[in-house]
Amino acid sequence: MYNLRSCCEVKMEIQSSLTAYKSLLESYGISGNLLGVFISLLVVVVTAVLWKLFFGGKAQRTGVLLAGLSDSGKTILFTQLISGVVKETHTSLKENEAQYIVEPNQGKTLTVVDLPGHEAIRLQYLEKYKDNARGIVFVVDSGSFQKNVKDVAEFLFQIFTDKQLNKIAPSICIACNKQDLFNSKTKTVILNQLEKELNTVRKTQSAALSSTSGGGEDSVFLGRKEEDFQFSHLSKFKIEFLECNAKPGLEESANVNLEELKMWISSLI
Amino acid sequence: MLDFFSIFSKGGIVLWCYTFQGVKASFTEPINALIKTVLLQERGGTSHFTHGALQMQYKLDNEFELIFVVGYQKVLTLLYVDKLITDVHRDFRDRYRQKLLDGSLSWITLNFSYDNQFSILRSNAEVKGSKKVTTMRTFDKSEKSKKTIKSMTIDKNKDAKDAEIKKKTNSPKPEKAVKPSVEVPAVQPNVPESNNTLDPDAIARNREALAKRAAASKAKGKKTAPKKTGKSARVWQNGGNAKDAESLDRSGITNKDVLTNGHSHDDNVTAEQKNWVNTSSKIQDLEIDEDEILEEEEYEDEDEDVEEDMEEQANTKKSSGGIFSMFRGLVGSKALTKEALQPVLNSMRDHLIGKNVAADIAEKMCDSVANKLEGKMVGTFSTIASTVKQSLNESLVLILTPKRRVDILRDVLETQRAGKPYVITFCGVNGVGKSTNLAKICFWLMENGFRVMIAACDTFRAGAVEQLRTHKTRLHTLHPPSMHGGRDGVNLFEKGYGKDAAGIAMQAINAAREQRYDVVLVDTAGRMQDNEPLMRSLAKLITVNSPDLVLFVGEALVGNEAVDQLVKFNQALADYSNAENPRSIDGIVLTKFDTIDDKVGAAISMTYTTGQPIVFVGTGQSYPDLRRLNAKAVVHALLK
Repeated sequence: MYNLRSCCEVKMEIQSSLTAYKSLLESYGISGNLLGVFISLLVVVVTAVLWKLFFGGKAQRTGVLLAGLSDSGKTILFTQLISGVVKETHTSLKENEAQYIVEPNQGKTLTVVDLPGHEAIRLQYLEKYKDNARGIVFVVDSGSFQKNVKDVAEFLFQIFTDKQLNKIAPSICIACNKQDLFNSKTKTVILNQLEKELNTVRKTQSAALSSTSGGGEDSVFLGRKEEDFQFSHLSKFKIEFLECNAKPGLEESANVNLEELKMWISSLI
Repeated sequence: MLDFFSIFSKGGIVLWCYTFQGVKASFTEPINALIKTVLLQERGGTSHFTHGALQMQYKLDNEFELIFVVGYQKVLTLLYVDKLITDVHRDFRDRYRQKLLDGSLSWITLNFSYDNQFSILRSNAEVKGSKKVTTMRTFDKSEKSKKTIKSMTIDKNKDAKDAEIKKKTNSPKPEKAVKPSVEVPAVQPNVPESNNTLDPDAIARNREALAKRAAASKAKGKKTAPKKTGKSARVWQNGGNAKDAESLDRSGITNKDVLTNGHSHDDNVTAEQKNWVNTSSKIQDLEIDEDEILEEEEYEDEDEDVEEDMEEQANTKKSSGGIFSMFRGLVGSKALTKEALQPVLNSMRDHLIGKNVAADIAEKMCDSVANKLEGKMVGTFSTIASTVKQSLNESLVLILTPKRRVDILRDVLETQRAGKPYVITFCGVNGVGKSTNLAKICFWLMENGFRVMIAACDTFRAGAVEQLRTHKTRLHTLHPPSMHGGRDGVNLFEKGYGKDAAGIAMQAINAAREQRYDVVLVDTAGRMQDNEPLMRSLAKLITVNSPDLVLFVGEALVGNEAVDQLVKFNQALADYSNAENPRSIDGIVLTKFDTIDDKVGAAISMTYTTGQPIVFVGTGQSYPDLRRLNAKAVVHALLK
C-alpha cells in the first residue's frame, strides 16, 4: 500500500512538473514544434539518468582490479591470467587492461585491470577504475612481507576507508603471491600480522576519533571501536585470503599455482 | 659495446630485450631505477640517466605507449647511440604497427623476433658513427674573412695611449668621498673602443663627469653638516640599561609565577587557547576552494539528497560523454608535434612562474610534459591546450604525492615499542619559522598522547632558548601532567648559549631515553646555505645523533631561492658527513602558507628538487595552525 501510494504521488508530481514546465516554455514564446523538441530532449535526459541510477548496480560492474605494492607481482600475475605466458616485466607506469574469460561459465568475461603499484601514482589509477570494481585482488609479496608490512597495511587501510568503495562494496581477496620463495609466509601468518598492524594504523591515521574532529574529512573507522581489529569485523567487504604463485621456479614444487585465485574470480559471477 | 637494449610497454611488460653477447645479467634493477627516478619524478626532459657504472638512454613512444631503453658502460662514449635508438624506434613501430594498434594486448603472447633486424641496424649505426670525419672549413666560410683588416691590426702606440687615459680617469676617484658609480664605468668603455686617439669630445665628456662628481660630493657635504647639531640620542624602551634589568630578567623564578614541578605556570593563557586542547590531535587537510573541488568529486557531502543530485550531474556528464565518444571514434585523430605543443607549453610555463614556481623547475616540468605528449594521438574534439593542461595536472599531482609512507605517529609508536625516543631535527635558513612550527608539532604530538622533549640546540640567536622556554611553559599549562599519567608532557633541555649544538643534542636524547620521553624535537639555528662552517656543524649534528627524521623548514614565500637552499643543504649534508651513507633531508615543512593566496608554487619547487614529501604545512602562528598537504587542492589552485 505504501509503495503504491508513493508511486502514484511520484507520478502525479512528474506530471504536474511537466505541465508546469510546458507552461513555462510557452510563456517564453516557444510553442508548437520547438516545444515538442524540448520535451522530447527532456524525456531522453531523464530516462538516461534513471537508467543509470537503476541499472548502475552491481550487474554493470565487470572489473577485477589487481592492486598492491610495487614489486609484488601484479603485472606477471596479469600476464599469466590473460595469456598463460610469463613475460619479463618492469615497474608499471600505466595500467594494463584486458578481457578475461571465466572458464567454467563459458562466454562470461570480466575486465582484469592491473594497476601500477608505485606510491605516487597508485591512488590516481585506483580513482579511475574503482567505479567499475566488482572485485579487488590485493597482491602481497609473501617473501618481503615482513619488511613491508607497514606499507601494505597503509594501502589496505586506504582501500578499506575509501568512501566510494564502501558504497560499491566489491569483494576483496588478499593474494599472498610469490609462494615459491623459501622464506614466504603463509596466509594465516600474513592475516594475523595484518590484523595487528591495521589495529595500530586505524588509530594513527584517524587520530582524533575519541575527541571531536575539527572538520575536514570524516573517515570511516575500521571494525569495531572497543575490540581489536579483525577482518571478520568488516561486514561490507567479503574478504578472503589465498595463496598463489605466478612465476615458474626452478624446482618442480615451485610451479605456477593460480588455482585458488581463478576459483575466486569465477565466484565473482 | 652495448650492454642491453630493451623495449617495454608503459604498463611494464617487456616486448623485446637484447643482451650483448648473451650476458644474462638481469637488467631489471637499473631499468626500474630509471623508471622511478626519471619518469615517475617528472625529470623526463633529458634522455640520459646514469645508474652506477651504467649509462642509459631512453626514448618514449607516446603513440603506442612504449619505452625504448639502451644501456652501456659509462666509461665508453658511444656516439652512435642516439641514432641507433631513433632508427630502432622508427623501424620497430613501422614493422609491428598493426599488432600494436590492436588494443586488446594480444601482443602479450607474441614473440617479437627482432634480433636479426636489430643487429643489422646496430652495425649500420656503428659504421655511420665511425665515419663521422669532420672536414676543415674553407677560408671563405670562416668568420675571419668577413672582418676588415683595419679592425684586426694591433697598433702598439694606440694601446699605450689608451692605458694612460684609463689611469687619468681612475685617479680622481680616491680623492672624492662619494663616487656616482654609474658614471665611472660609462666613461671608461668609451676610451678603448675608439680606434682614433683621444678626441676633443672625449676630453669634454671626462671634464663633465669630473664636474658632476665634485658637485655631488659638495651637495652631500652640505646636507650632512646641519644634521649633526640637531641629533639627539634615541631612547629605547627596555633598552638594556641597568635600570631595566629587573623587568627584563627571565632567568630566575620570580614570586609572581606559581611553581609546578619546576615549571612556571603561564597566567596569560586565554580561554580561546584552552579550547585548543583535545581538539587538535588530528591534522586536517588544506582547504583551498572546496566548492570547486566539490564539482569534480561527487561524494564529499553527507546529505543524501545533495549526494543524489551530484550523482545525477555526474551521470549526465558521463552519458553525454558517451554520446560524443561515438563521434570521436568516427572523426580522425591527430598526432601532437613538438611545434604544436611549444606555444601552449610556453604559456603554461609562464603561468607556473607567475604562481611562484622556480623558473628552471617550471622549465624542466614543461620539457618533461612535452616528452610525454610528443607523438600522442588526440581526438579532434579535444584541444591541444586541454590535453597539455590535463597532462600537466597529472604530473604536478605526481610530484606532490609522497613517494613513501608518511605517518609520523605510526613511526613514533614503533620506536616507543623499542624503548627509544623518536628524534626529529629541524633545519633551515634564518627566519623561516623553525621554532614556531616546532612548538606546533609539539602540541600536536602531545594531543596524541606522546611526551615530548625539546632540545634547544640553537645556541646562537638571542632569545632562542627563552622563546622555547615560553612555549614549554604554555604547553605545560595547556597539557598538565594529569593528562599524561602524572608525568610531564613536555620538557625543555637547554644548556644556554655558545655551546656546541651537537653535544647538546646528544645529551638531550640520552636524557629523553632515561626519562622515557617519546619524541625529541631538536631546534637548530638558522643558517645561510653557503655558510660553510655552519653547514659543517649542522652536518656534524646530524651525523653524530642520527635522527629518525631530518625536516627542512622552508617558507612558502620563497621563490627561486628554494631550489638553491635545498640543493646546497642536501649537498652540505652529503659532503661534510664522514659516514658511509650520509643522511639527507627526509621531509619538508612548508611554513607561512597563510600569507600566499594561491601562489603555491614553492611547494612544487621544493618537492621537485629533493623528491621528498611535504610532511607539514604551517598556516599561522598559533598552536592548531598545522595542516597536512592536500595535493589535489594545491594543484587545483596552481593551475587555476
